[in-house]
Amino acid sequence: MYGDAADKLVADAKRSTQLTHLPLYQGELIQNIINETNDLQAEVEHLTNEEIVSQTQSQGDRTNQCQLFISHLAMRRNKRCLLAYQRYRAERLQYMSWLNNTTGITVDEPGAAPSGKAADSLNHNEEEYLKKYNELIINYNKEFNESLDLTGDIEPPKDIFIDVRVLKDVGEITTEYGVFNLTKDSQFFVRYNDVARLIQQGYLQRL
Amino acid sequence: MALPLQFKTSFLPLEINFLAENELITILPRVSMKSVELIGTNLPNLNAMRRQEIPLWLALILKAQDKCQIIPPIWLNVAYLKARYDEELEFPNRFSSLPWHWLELSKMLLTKASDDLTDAPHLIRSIIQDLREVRLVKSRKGLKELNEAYLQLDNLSLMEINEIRPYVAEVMDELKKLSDCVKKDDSMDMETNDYEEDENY
Amino acid sequence: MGNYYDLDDIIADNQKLPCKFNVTVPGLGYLEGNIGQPLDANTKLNLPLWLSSVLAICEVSQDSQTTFLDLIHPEFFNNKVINAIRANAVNIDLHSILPNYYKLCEKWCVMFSDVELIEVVSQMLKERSNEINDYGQNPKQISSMAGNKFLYSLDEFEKRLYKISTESHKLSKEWFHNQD
Repeated sequence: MYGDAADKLVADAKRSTQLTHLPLYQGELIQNIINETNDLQAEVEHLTNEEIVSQTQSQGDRTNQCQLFISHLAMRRNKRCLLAYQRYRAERLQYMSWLNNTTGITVDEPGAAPSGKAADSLNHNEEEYLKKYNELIINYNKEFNESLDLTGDIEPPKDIFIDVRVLKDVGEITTEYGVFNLTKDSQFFVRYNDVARLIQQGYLQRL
Repeated sequence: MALPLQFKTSFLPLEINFLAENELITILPRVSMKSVELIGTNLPNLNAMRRQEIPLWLALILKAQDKCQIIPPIWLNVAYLKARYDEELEFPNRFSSLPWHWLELSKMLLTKASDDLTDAPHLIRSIIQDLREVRLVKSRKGLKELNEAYLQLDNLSLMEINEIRPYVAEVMDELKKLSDCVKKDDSMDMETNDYEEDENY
Repeated sequence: MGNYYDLDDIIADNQKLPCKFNVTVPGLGYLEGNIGQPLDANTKLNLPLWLSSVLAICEVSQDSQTTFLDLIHPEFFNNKVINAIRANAVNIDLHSILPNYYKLCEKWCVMFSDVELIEVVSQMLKERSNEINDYGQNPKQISSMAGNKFLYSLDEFEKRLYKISTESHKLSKEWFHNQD
């Protein structure tokens, strides 16, 4: 029945609303749907040619056109499902960019190490999209220079200095209070502004 | 939209806390200080032992530095709160009138300035908890009257409204959608679909 | 424009409804399984909503009043279900009747203006949403037997409502008990 593959696609999108990470791009399924739509298009053309040749259609009677109509509806349906799937994934990508996730690698739980395999979950078009969108955000942020970081924490801060523990090796950071060598499992008492981004990216853990 | 779901539907409690910190509160400074100009507000001249009204967040910082003593607001004592509690029990269909930010202010003062309060902090804490529970139960009962057009719950504070706002908004939206379905006069109306089919091929 | 991309709307549109063709249509036999054959008048089929709702409104020709097909009153809106809802709205298992009950209700009533159905469903929504809010405020109760049963009986909209309700109560509670 026409529209079954499209339904599977939409069901996949719906399932991924429950997940924290973005699942694999359904390239194959989408190709199937596009093929199905192309078949429908060919059928539509064939039917319209038949109509013109046989001239059976009377002025108001649409019965013979019904088959045409149904193919047309099926095509519209496929288009709608494809667009909704793309749009949903694009929205997730936007959400990821605002969280400063520039690489497109998504993880199952926050704080877990990203696995190399997860990088395949995006289509190369989606990676382009993520990159360009990140650029847009950076450019927009430039207007405010240093005084405001739009991608920073949304919760209002409580303290100026906080305790952090290092989860992964980052190297050294330079602050006005000195140079900190951030090796794994060490703890520091640092100014919140300096380390906010690192916390967001998962390298440090706030205590 | 790029915001997470809970931001779209209501404020975070942390944000409301932040808003509450703007409330003015009276302090008794222990030292004299010159005024300081800050973004959005000014710290006025502080004379020792002379009462002054300043925003709460400034007061908490000064208190942490031991430069002042906070005078609790008139409603933050056992007697007043107990009277409100009795009022809640007496009128099951109404909420008693409490300040707009009573939950946030009381919590902040209890944690950061408990020695300045007139009554024992644990007593105040317990009665605040009781008050909150009683009002929660009442608001649940009041929500049984939900309809698609209109809901009136007087005297709720910002935090309490914020807690029920997402739920109430969703339910009212759905009720409205349902009732709109039958209000249309012509049943052949397909205008709920934003895309049009044209049948003449 | 919100409906076009809405995933729930698309899934709801996919719901199959029984319908009866009023005219014989050539070439549509594949819907029944007979490829290449015409579809006879008075055949009953289950077609998805996106197909059947348009055909049910479209007339056969510009003068006649008959439409291509008629939508038969489906099971989930019949009297038995309505009575069951009236009797006990909270305990009814909506998920097993139809996972997208409210959405389907809206779509059906836009076409057929069934006022009685809307009234019953609105009332049901009010009662069930109260129950949902109760569980939202006391999330431990949902793991009890009755709570579990209720949770499984919710349809998609109610599940979203439950999630919103628990989240907001959880945030408030956390903030309240946090000794920061």
